[in-house]
Amino acid sequence: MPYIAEVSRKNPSCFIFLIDRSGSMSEAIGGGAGKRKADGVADAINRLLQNLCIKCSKGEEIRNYYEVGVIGYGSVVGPAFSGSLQGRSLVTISEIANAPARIEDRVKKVDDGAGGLAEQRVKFQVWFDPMADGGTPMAEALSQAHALLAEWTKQHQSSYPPIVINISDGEANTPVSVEAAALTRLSTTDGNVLLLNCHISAYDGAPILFPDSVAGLPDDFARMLFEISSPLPDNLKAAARSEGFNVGENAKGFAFNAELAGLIRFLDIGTRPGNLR
Amino acid sequence: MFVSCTYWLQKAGNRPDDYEDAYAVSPNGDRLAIADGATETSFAAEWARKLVQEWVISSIPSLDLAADGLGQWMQALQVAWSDGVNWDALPWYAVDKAAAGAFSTFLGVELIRDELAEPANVHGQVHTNELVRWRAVAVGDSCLFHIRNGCMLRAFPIECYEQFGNCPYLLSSIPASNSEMARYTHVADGALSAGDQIVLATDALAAWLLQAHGRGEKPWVSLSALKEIGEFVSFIDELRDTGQLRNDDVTLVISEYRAKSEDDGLENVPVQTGRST
Repeated sequence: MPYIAEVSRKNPSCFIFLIDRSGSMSEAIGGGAGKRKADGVADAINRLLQNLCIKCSKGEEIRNYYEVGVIGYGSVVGPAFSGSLQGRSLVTISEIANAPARIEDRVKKVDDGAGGLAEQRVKFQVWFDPMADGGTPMAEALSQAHALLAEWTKQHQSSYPPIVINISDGEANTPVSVEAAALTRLSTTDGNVLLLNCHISAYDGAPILFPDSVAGLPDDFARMLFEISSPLPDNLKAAARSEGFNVGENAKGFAFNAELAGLIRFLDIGTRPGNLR
Repeated sequence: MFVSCTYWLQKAGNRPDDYEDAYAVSPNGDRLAIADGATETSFAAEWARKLVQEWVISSIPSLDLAADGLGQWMQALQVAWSDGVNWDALPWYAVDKAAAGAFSTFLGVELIRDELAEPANVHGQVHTNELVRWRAVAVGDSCLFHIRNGCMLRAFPIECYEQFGNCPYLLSSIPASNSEMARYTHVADGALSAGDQIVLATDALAAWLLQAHGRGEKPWVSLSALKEIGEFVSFIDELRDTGQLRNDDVTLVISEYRAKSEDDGLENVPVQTGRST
């Protein structure tokens, strides 16, 4: 049975985030007048990295259960960490934990226990900054991910397969099916690389999470991203169902217009092999 | 009297320091305990050790813990656990994790002697028979097995392999996280005869024992044949290598009840503790 390898320091797992940084990411989410897509995605990535660091912490130390890469694609395509990790392709979770680019003071609204909301000051670690410039060279980003993971899977054949999470809002410059197929042909003994796609659209449509067909997807690009998404392994389907997602047997790792909370939950599920020991 | 042997081995790939189960046996062998600290929580080994050590030095009966006594019993341990964490020195990723508390299973066993006076004989002499019982209190999936002549009389609190789940209820070092504890606290007892064994095992080994028992085998015989730590390590390595035993910390306590007549002339046999190297 695939996708059951334990994630450990001896057999770490790997995540690659591909982040659309094209000009259209400066538009507001859902075509409204609110937060920019680029900012929403940056917050979601940083929050996910915070959660990963906390998940891997043990006592006073942090255990290298994961290696993480972030590749941005827009006017340039390449590693997208900020701060002292700038230019690094794949970084261990302990390096991430100990090197945020900066720590921001933010205010979080929390339940005050009396039916209202109270403001709580929190520290917010930042490793990835928003950017919105240029076209959408998604194929090049998928190729760079392939180059990274071809080497990584060779060195980690017993590990849980890497998960690539592609977040995009618009049409790719060129078709990407060839590069996507090459990427998901890479494998460890526990299964093939998984490609999960999250489409943040300007079209103000209802969120669709982990569909099992193209029915209801509004345009060709959403349908294309669905087609190149990996089928969800059984344990990820079970994890999604336990989080309240309605997941069919043929569900694929695709999300359309996920709200930010839904996006974080989607990413959290995608980065939770469920067997961290 | 009760003669106990204890063995432990950390999960394959980990250092001995990473072992997060705990065990304790009182000097006269009549109080035993094991606990399994949850890997996903911080300072879990410290919490598990506090639980078992407090059990063997106290005289609190199992029934008192089962009847809403567990919360009060743990109060001092929870304070001690928190006092043992160097909160000021924790890095940002460790603070949230540690503040959420440590979690552990707990299985405490007491071996109870009752004296039953027989009617006086023709010479007016009164003899007493010693009735010995075991009584145990359990939260979580660390297990007790009552063995007689190589056969299992009772398994507690889990009775068959299929009952093992991924998320047993655990005792927390944070009081507020134990609100449903009473519902998940179980108590059981049984009568002991000379030669009987009480076997305690944390979940990975307990699951293997129940699986083997379910197939009609007598795995207790293999356990009883172990003479020293090297044999135990080889035994566990073989089970892991053949996929029969999930890779996890392993803890085994075997306590044998020997009748009074066997005590004559014997020194108090010290507890043998096997440690991995």
